[in-house]
Amino acid sequence: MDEQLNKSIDLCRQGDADAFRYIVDRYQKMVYTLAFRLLCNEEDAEDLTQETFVKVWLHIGRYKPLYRFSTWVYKIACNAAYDKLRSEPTVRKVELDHCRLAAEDDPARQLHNQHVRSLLLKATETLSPKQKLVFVLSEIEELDTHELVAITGMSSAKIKSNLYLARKCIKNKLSGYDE
Amino acid sequence: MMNDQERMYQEWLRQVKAVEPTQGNPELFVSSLMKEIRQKERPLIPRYLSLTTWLSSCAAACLLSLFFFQQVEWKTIPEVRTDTILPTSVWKNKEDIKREKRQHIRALYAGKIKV
Repeated sequence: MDEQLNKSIDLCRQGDADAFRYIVDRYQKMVYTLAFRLLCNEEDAEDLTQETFVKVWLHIGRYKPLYRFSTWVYKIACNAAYDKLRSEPTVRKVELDHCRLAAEDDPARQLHNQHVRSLLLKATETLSPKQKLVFVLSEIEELDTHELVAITGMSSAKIKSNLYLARKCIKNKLSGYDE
Repeated sequence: MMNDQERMYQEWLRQVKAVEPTQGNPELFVSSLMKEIRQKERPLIPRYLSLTTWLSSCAAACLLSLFFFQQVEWKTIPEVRTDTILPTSVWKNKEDIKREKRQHIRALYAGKIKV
């Protein structure tokens, strides 16, 4: 871990808001990207990013440098995303073809996100929350098994079986689309 | 050899990895987050009260409750009525309770009450 980050974490523990701003700047994109890939919705991703950083601020005293700081942030974000995926599993399917463009928003950005969203939902909408979580972390975010165990709290065998099922489901879905 | 299904999967995965979602306005996000955090720091104090007002009202409430519980005591006694047997709660002064106790003890010693 680099010096600047270590220093910021220590300062954050003492309640330094500027140090926290540095952490947010550094990990904001990572958390937002993960949140969007899991939830496939801009608003939900923004909310989840905010929720994650509020939790980081409130509980930074509990962080132990046993794992990388990014792993700890991933863990917080994944727990929140997993809860959300479990609580509203059908919402995302309904909104697949709805392109909600607000006048004050950037249409180009919205269209880009809509493209990312449909690309993801094309194959992952039928995955269970656990399968989706493991798949996104392992295949898209390219995290190793050691980190996955730390983030999800699942055993490596369970991670492998979930990943196998997710891949199988996606392959079937993709071949079904092309038929 | 890679079959068609695997090839389609790899192509889809490559596309998904290649495109990243774009966040609206990171600066705006940071400022709203910092605002949210400042609010979380004092969750017990209502936002429409200043710290001084809030502390003063807490102190006043403490003093009042202290004074109140020094003076009176909550006591439940059965109501002496023939039409009901439900107990009624009344406020009684501490001195009244003491006087009643003294009367009761005197009556006990005088043999008016049989144990």
